[in-house]
Amino acid sequence: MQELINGLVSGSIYVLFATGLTIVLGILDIPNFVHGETFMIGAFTAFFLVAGLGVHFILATIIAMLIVAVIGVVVEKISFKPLRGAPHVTLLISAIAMMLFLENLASLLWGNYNRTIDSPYTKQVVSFLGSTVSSQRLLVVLMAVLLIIALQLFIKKTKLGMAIRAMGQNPEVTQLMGVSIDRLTSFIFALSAALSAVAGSFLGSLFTLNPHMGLEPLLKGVVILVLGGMGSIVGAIVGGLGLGLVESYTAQYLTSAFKNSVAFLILIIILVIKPTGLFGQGGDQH
Amino acid sequence: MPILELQGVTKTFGGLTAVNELSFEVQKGDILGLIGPNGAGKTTVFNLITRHLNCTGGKVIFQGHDITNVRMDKIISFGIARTFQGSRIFRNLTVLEAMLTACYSKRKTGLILDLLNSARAKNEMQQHTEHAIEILKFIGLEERKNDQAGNLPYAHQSLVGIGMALVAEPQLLLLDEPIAGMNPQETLETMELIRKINGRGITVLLVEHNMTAVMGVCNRIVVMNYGEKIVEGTPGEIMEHPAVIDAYLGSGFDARAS
Amino acid sequence: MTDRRLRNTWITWIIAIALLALLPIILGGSYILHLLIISCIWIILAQGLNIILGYTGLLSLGQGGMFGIGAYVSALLAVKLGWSFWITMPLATTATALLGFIIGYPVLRTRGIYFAMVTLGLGVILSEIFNNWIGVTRGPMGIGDIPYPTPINLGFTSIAFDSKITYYYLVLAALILVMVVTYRIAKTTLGRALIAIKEDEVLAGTFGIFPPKFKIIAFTVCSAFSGLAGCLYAHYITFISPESFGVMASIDALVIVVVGSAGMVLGPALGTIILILVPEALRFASEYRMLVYAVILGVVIMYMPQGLGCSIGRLASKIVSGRRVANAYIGTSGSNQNLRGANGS
Repeated sequence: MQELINGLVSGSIYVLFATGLTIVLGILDIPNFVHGETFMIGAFTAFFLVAGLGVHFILATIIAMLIVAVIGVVVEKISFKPLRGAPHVTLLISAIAMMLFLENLASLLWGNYNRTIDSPYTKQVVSFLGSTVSSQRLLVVLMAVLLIIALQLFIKKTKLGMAIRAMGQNPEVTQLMGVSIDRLTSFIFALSAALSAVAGSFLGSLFTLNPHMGLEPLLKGVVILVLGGMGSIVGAIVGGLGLGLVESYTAQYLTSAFKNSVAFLILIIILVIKPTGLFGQGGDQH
Repeated sequence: MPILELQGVTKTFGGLTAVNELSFEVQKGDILGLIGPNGAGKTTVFNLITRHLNCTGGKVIFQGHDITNVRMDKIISFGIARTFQGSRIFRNLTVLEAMLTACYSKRKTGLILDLLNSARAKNEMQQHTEHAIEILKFIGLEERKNDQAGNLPYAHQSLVGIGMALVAEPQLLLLDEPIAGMNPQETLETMELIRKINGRGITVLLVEHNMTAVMGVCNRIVVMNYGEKIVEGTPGEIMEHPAVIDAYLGSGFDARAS
Repeated sequence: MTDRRLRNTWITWIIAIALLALLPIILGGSYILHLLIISCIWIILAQGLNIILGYTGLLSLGQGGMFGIGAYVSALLAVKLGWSFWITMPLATTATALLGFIIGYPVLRTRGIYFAMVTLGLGVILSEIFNNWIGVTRGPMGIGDIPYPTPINLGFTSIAFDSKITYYYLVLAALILVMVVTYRIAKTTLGRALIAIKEDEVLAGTFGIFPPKFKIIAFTVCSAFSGLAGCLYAHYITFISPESFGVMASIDALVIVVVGSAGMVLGPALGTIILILVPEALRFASEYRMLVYAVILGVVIMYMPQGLGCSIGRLASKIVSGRRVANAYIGTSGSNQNLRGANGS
């Protein structure tokens, strides 16, 4: 039972993280490895708001989303916009440069030690299906569900959402619709970064945060992307929850030492059997 | 005996039949034109012959060998070379480097001897370079040998594609729309080149939309529509054939055809 | 003409090697020597990546793991079994190459971004093995007391490798070997086939080049170089722990290759000089080093996506061709031959 809850909690964070990663890759075809760093900055922003200014955890998370959304836009302008149309490998290297920069800047500014975001719900306990769970963990799952539903509604029902989907299929159509590709790209990056910030804030409230926390979720996000198919939000949900559960159960029944290896072993097996990903439409073929 | 023989070749993509029970023969020394409206399946036929695609059914026989299931990279050593639509070449190499790369199948020295810079490898390299220069002279691009292939004018890129196929010394050459994008002068020169290639004893199979070129250079023509062969004959016969006129006019073929 | 060119090539090689051999004497100092040794090791590691990324067009992010395999295999054989460096070095190199060969077959079915991800995964798995297979690797505590190479007895004298200067000549010899192998690969059919695959796999196949075969060769060579670098590293530092062989090591190698120009024999050397020696020379405090790396990498990929080596080469050929025009030489210069970057595909 406890494993199920653990799996769902970390799965929810993975889902939020991977959704942001997948919309940028799926719609804009950009492997945004900076995502782990916006995640880290989101966690730090929320931390400083709570610890420094005494803002309530939920409000701090929302403010962090907004701030990191702006950072996401800046990252796009600096690291990806000048390279539009370049091969994936080039984009990936540019992303790695930004990743290194932000990670090391954070480490210089904020120091290399672990912190935890305070939330009023951490110490509250509820009993849930026969187990005791901290309210904070339930809150994380609940907010993740709400956010993902909101995102789905936004993409499916609103005009902007439709433009985003159209852009994924054919950028020229979007231009014909009278929407500026530049602005839409910025918007998608903002959305994606905001999602990573929530994930970071949640993780920082349940576990710890430090300047190097971005790499691990990034690696996991990559696995989820391959599992769920690049660009598919549903795939990110299934993949994220699936990975959270698999990890939780292997940690319980097998070993916790090889947690990352389990994820990557799955990825390698899938890619070796089907070199273009589980639901892949081909990916990089040029 | 025909040099190339297609026996009931079929290719389906999902539920869609791109090539259906296609059979024809290419005789040694032919310049055979394969024509038909857009989407008739001509390029698919090329891809089936050179094994870039797997046949769903039927057989491809080359000089008595069944090559239906041969691996793609082995095709060239059987003596079949091809060009691609839109002059697909090694764009970032110089023209000469591209030609030398295309010499790969002619190589007799192993990779290790080559790495060790053996006399034999050096000798072979020398021969290949001379051969590549000879072909470059033949297609009229010798002066461009040190230029980056992708920076050449379009017509020249198309010639580089043909040159690369020629250095491999094939017996059968498949040309996929070599004239597309050329001006009338270049078209005439390329037609002449195709005749000269044929004069070297190389059988040519040509897919081309430019009817004037096809009619002018081919000695036999196969017409396809909807993945099937509708007629086969000499250019004269083809031009008069009602089914051909029907196929082209019926599918809105552009005025160039007439 | 060719004879003269050949002689010139030889003279260039000899001058270069002589200079490198004299470097410690010219520059002197134990710290400089340390930097030189580390640089040589990094060039070897990066050259491995250059083969797979620069020549074959595949981005491998598992370089750090392969580096670790070479280091651990050699260190374990030396420490646990007491074998001599002269046996463990070829064994470690071969073992790493073999590992590359074996996992290459399934892994190389993927391409593009998927290949990058699979190799990233391999790197992570290897690093977790180093960390968690405590019975063998001692986990995060690492392996210490790795012996220096055993002295070579020449009869009249013996050469010991417990000093930096002799170790420098050892890594220099290994580096020259690696450079010569790379140079030969680049110059011959093998290199041409690899570049053809990078340019256009289908077209390469049309001309008889079977891509899987060449990709495996490239991946095996890449692994061998990484293994050799790892082994040289282990016996120099004499202590290894998993953190030297993680994702960051892979990224360091990537930065070196990209900044120096992927697909150029001398690219990794240039990249290493810039990324290891420049920050050191400018005496940046070590905590700023990674920040400097990040900025250099970002600026290079943005403004010179083909790398510095390529830009320098182009500049040089411009100067050369300018002089030719001055000599009323008519005709086009063979400008950027061999100067293609990683991103041409």
